Amino acid sequence: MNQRFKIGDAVVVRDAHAKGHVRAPTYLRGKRGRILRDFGAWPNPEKLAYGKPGWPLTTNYWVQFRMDEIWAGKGNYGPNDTITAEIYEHWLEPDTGAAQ
Amino acid sequence: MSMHGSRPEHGQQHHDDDHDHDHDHDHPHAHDERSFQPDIKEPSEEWEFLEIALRELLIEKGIVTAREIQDMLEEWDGKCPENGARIVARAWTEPAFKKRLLADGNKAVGEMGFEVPGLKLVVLENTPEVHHMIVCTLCSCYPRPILGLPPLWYKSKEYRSRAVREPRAVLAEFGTTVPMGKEIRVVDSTADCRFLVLPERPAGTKGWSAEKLAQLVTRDSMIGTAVALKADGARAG
Amino acid sequence: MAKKSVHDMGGDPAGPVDRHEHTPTLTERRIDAMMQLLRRKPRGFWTTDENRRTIESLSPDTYRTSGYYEKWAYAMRGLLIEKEVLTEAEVGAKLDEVKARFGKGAVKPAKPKSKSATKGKTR
Repeated sequence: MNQRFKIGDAVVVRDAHAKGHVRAPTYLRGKRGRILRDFGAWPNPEKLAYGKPGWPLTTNYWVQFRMDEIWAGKGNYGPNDTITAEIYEHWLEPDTGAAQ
Repeated sequence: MSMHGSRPEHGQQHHDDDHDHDHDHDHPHAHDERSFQPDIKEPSEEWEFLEIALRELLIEKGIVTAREIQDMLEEWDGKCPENGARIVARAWTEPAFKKRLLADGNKAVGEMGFEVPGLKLVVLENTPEVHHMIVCTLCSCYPRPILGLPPLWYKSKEYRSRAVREPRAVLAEFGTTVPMGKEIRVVDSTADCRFLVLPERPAGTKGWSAEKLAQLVTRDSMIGTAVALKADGARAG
Repeated sequence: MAKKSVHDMGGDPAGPVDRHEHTPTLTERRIDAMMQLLRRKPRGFWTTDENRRTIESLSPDTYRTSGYYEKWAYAMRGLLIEKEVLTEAEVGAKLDEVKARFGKGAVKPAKPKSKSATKGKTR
């Protein structure tokens, strides 16, 4: 299947409110990161959660975020600390503002 | 060194007539009468009565059998941190296995007889540059087929909320310090991967057998809230 | 902006992590075992995602104050009824029968729990 993103791409998590079961945590919405790995194609859990098959499959990406990007200093972390999360393709947009 | 809570003993009496009283003496756990721990307490909360009600209904209606439940309990008794420790120790002693483990966790642990069906097992190597710490902020995803049931704290509001924001404060509560310049990579387990940390091999263990090395690998070092024990068995900070 | 769900807690303020080791009780292990049996083949009554969705749908108060396996018990009940494997009526009847067996005829209200009852407990 065609994947929208490749490793190293700068992406941003859509800042959307979604009803029902989603796996994009609120604390990451609207945040910018980079694709670290591609974990392959999976049925959409937001459909599976309601007894639907969740096809067509959606690509799941491992996205890495700098801590400062998420918390802007309001936390307890080191300067190089990061967060990674598995985010499904439909939750990601290219981060056009980032250096590519 | 105890890596996890003691395993429950089998064979306790229960009011609701467990149909499986057979005592399997091939069972790997010790049946030491002196250390018998009756972990059945009289149910008192709504959900405990609900468990009995649901189980009895499911059995009455032939949806599950008591034997199947017992078999499942025993299957899960076999899943414990010692499994992960063996995997880690083998990776430390066999570079080719480690390479396979990092490339395809499911396949590599399959060589040792472990199965992780339906999920992607991803093994994350701690290095001098990166320390991984696993959390599931949304629920409690954990590499259960390898490590068994997760500790209570892993499922707690406190850990799930704070690990992503205050990893160093949380690690300090665990008695673990990571140098400030090193990257702590907090891994939020939000989908179908299950992550297992491959801790750094302790200094002074050159030439050790995998069996001996496995004893240094604690459950918490495979979650990332600790590092492996030191060669002398002491906790590392 | 709409309020986020209670389960979506990454980054929320919280207290120290209670690290005490808890050996799962037989009740808890049975809940775990039954959920495995019902979810996995050959039954496949629901998926992990449906289980998560059901737990996330518990009232915020229930979610906050219930223990881990307590939530799973509620989810198991909800899913078995949703999937029409059991009916609400028969679960209710069996529950009453079980409670009577233990001499707990008078129903102890399940929810909500007072804050003091759960203070200090790791949920």
